[in-house]
Amino acid sequence: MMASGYIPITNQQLIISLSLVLITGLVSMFLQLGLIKSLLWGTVRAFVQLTLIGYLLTFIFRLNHPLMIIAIILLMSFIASREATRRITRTPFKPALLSFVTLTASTFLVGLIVVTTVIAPEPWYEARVMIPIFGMILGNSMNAVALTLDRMYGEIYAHIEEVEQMLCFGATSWEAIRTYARKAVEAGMTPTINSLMVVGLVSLPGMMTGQILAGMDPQEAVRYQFVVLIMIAAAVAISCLAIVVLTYRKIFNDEMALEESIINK
Amino acid sequence: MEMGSVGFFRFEGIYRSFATEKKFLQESGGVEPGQILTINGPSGSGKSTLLRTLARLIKPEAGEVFWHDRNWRSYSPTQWRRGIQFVGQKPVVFPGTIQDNLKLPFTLKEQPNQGDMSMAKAEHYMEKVGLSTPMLDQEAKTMSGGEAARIALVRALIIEPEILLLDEPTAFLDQDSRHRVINLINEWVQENRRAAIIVSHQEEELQYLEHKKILHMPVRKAV
Repeated sequence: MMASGYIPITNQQLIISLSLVLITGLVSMFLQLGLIKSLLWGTVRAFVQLTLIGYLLTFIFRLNHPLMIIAIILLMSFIASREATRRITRTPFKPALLSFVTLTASTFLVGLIVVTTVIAPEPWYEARVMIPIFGMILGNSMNAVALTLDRMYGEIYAHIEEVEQMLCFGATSWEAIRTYARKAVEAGMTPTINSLMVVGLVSLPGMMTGQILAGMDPQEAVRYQFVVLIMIAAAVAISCLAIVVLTYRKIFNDEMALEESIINK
Repeated sequence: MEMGSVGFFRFEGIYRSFATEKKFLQESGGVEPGQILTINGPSGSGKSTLLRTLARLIKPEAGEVFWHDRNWRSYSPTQWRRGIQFVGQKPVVFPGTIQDNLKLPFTLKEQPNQGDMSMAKAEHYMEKVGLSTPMLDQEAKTMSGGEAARIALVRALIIEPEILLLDEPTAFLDQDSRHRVINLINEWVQENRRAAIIVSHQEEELQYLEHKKILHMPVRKAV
């Protein structure tokens, strides 16, 4: 299916593209942003990281061993879960483990459905398909989980008295935080739903652009992109809901009252 | 009450330390139907903490509470908190109209009294505390502190609890509203054979509470 019509980039052309960094550098100099050092370091890092990942992917694609592919996806989930929770400091617990469970579960659930039934490569665990597909799901779910956690605990901390009052009415712990859980899931899903709305009108997604540049017929590329978008939306919805359901009990004690560390915050 | 019998509502040896201030609270007491227990004492003696503990919003380090001769652990927290309504010092108002606020407890899965709220009852209590019923459609957030405090009391009453736990119920009220609230509490306790435990600083208003006993809480310093 991969078309042969792509135009390769030679080393010289790659070096020419570096001149674009100069433009960015000039902007930084002109406005005295002090970003030159970071810009140069970032350019070097991007080049080295991408070159290494290029070699690594070539190796993995050649090996194409199912256990190795699963191990790599688990490692990606681990990194994504740490990244998703790194800036979340407001929770009274460490959400990294639960984020890992959430991201792994939603990624495997949706990813396997797409890989085995929609794309259906031969063999089904084809690394060339599995790794990019699972990677796209993880990247989007990671952001959704981060947004959801941040919103959820931000809302709850801002409404401690309301949560407690609901408990006084005889609400269960879920009923007491339901309003805030709903807002959190909405916050997590909004970017994905927005991208469904504007795709093709405002932006051409990276994957589709890549496939077109690689010589694929745009109509074929569109089919892929549609599947990917739907897949991402499903995984994001599952992740947002799962992270809320898995974490909310952590702020309550076994008496269905708020943990005192939260009340006294 | 006779020794050995625990009766309607009784707390025994509730103990809690305040690590940061080297203080602790240790109290026992109770109420019978038709009775009011008032808790007074200097600030920092743990009156509000005791009340919140009785509502099972805070865990004590030791002590037991009995309601209808049954240990509190034998009730689910939701069942407990519905039957023993805690109304905090600062009234909590939710988005929506005043009517929405009154109906909120009735939207929960395990609805109080397995039925819809009685609007007539809400209006009756509102009238008693000097609130007019046309205000039901008003946005709840626009209420004054005194109005919100009275609505919080009405909201607790229409849940039809057996016991009210009130933390400074008249703190935000003017003289006239204070008397109305005290009268309503007296009436509700007597007519329905219910009970109330009230924390208050207002010595003068407490004297109007009927059938009451007083629990004085000193500041207990840990040695």
